[in-house]
Amino acid sequence: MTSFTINGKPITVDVEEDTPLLWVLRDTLGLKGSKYGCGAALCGACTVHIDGDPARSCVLPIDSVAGAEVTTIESLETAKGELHPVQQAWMEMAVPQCGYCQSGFIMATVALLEVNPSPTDEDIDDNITNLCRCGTYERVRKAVHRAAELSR
Amino acid sequence: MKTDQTNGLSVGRRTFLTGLASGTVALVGFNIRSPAIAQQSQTISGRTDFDAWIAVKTDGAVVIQVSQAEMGQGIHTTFPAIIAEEMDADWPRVELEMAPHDAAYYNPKFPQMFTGNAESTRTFWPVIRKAGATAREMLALAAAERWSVPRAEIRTENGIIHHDVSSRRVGFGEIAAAASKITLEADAPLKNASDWKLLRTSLPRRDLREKVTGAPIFGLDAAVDGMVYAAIRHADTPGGTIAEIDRSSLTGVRGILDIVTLPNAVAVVADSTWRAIKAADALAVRFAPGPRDNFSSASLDAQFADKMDGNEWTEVEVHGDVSASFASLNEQVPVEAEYHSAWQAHATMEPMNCIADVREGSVRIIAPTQGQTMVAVRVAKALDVPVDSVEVERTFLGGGFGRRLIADYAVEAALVSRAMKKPVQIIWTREEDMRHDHFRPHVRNRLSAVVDDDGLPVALDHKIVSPTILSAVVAEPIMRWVYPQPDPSCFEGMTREALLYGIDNQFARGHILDVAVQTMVWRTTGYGPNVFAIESFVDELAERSGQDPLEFRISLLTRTVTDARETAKRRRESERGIAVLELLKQRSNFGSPIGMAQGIAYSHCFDTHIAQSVDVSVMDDGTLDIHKVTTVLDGGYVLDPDITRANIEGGVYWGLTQALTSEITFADGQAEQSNFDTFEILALPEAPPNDLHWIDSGESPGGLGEVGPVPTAPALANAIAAASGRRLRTLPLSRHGIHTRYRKQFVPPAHDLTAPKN
Repeated sequence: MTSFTINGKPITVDVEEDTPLLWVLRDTLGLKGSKYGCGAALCGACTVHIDGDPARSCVLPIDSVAGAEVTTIESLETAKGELHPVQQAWMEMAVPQCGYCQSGFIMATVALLEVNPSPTDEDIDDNITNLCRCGTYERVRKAVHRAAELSR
Repeated sequence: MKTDQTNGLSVGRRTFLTGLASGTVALVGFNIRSPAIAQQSQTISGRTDFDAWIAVKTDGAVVIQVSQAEMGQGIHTTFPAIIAEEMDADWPRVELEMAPHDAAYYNPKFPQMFTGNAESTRTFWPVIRKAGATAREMLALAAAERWSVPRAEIRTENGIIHHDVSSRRVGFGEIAAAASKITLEADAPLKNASDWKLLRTSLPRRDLREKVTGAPIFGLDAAVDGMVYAAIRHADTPGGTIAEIDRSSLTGVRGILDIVTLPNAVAVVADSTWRAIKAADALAVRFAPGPRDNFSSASLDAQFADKMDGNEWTEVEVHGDVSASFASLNEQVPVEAEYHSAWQAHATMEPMNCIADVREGSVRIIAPTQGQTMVAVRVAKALDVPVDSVEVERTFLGGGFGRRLIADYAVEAALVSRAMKKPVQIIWTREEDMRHDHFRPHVRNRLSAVVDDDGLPVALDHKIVSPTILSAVVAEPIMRWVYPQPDPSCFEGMTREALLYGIDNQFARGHILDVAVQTMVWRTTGYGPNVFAIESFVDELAERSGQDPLEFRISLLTRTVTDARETAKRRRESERGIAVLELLKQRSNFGSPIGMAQGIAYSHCFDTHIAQSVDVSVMDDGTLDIHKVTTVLDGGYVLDPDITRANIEGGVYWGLTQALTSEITFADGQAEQSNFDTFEILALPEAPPNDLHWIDSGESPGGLGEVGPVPTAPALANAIAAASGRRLRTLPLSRHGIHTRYRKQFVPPAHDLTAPKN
């Protein structure tokens, strides 16, 4: 049994302690916005926040998040349906193509802007290390800058 | 309407059979339902169906069946926009449904329901325009009849029919039932492009909100009641079988439900995805080798080299007299070079997965698939059930790139579901997905030319050795029916239909190589390798005669334009090619590079003309800076500028990945790469800025999804040659020590690389 907070709500799950957080989110909690891409922390499609820091949930054993605050893409939209500035920027720039990796890019960007409200291109290079096979990188970069503007 | 598929869109459940010759339908084994159903429209539960594509609800909303798979290319926006434009529908009130698998949605050129080959717009354009126009005419005529006024006095706009003279108006929904009974006496007129309101504008993509909120729209996100999970572990080598399974290795493991053996794989079934994945990994299983498992990159290379030097060729194109041209050289040596493209995995970000629910008399498949007909046909065959008992529902696709045209994963899901007597979702881990892909094969092209006094080629001999890329993606009967050649896709770009340069004598020949590796198409299809070879070679010819590479290409196209013996079609297409190159010259400031040098390439592919220039700097240690990629295209009407832009931006990065880093190698009959640590794809910091321009020539739309990457590798290799003097003819360029500033120095694979000639 592992207890943690998911998107602000305390929860206890009964799974093997080596179960990656990603699969607890997807299969146990039904939160399917975080995606499985590589299972090895290489692509970032599974990016969530652990106590506010970006983390790749596909390699995080559930016991390592005991007591932690886990935040996923599902938390960004308000109950009234308002999108997070990062999501708004992503819509404005029409970033997604297939879209499978985009939850991860968005979560990585939200985390970046929280510590660095005005990232330079170099900051983006250093911090947004997710992979996209469709090739949305140019728009990701523009959308990060736009999200920074919208967040100010 | 099924509600348990959590993909954010409802799935159309109606069945039509429209306008297909019975022989075509029989080809893939469908039972033919009464053709009498064909053109009948029907009003069920508040909506009126006009045809297979269009229904109108009583509240006026227009429901459009999207038959083409959305895998990032934006077809869920452009496809309905084409219909809505002709229909004069109110765009915000257009609702989309995923079309079910049905013969009504077959591609007009190939009798299958599929998405690929950049077909969705260029081939369906006339079909769905007509569907939209026909529905609009039926609605207008119904209103004219109701008001007893001439059709000419009726105007349609945003889902409303107006009779301005009497200030009367009626919504589509109010008149749809009457309209559906109208029979048109002539084809409905199509709108003039100048009257378009939706097309030629950048519409907000219809799938954006789902994709920025993490909505469960992909195959792996789908679920049905009572579903169990299966992780697939394939035999190590192609055609390998299961020799021994030690079931006790999973005894007592929590959540394991069963182990199901498949012809070339084993499935571990569990009550959660992770338990299935972990157990499949832990399962003690020994695989027996396949019949031809003893291959490696070196042995494959030897096969290619042997056939390239051999004399077993299929003629692809014979024009003029190449033999006489080469004979006229006497003792002189022709210009010759050989180019190699690498083995590639598709590596869609969403790995292969599928839900199957096999019951007595019915099979339901929910899959992120590009090939609905392929899924139905293959699953039916594997289960020995009628094809029309297999329902195929599509989800959004987490990438396609060709991989999802085939149905291996769907067959596995169906077999596991039948064994379990339950609905099952199968998943391939990334490692399974990459190692057991059907790969884009290694391709070798050898080109020889005789040049005239101006340095322009007067004879071209082009040989290609390639494993098949097409046979895996078309059902066998269709293959025989449609294609006279063994695999025309392998030869794309080599024939005079695509290669517009004015060369009097051309001989193109191919050898379809039999290899143990599973092979298939991949974004760029045959054009990718062949255009890399041709555009590199043309660049070398320009360099030999000291000519500007861009002007050299214009000269070659001008020869076609000015040659009275050429067909009107080739002359017209060559004019489009020249216009694209002329615009590229301006937009890229060709001759004034950012950094050290520029390289270009041009291609006429998928009915689109595309030219690219790449600005680079290359250091002595191989460090490469790509400053900018400029693309100019003429793909006919630019139906959605921003979606066009996105396709080209992503396409360029796809092209750069295969040009620079990605490659599959083999040892002991297995792929050596299994994840993104060794199969390296372009990352954000090394993605250069794109500059895109187009000529909206008003021609019928060409393909966009495949074209972006086609010229990228040769343009980059040509730029590197211009910057460094190094003419690199083997991809990926990392093999030659070329690496972006971002990427660490590449460590070459261990196997012996066969050096290209020259």
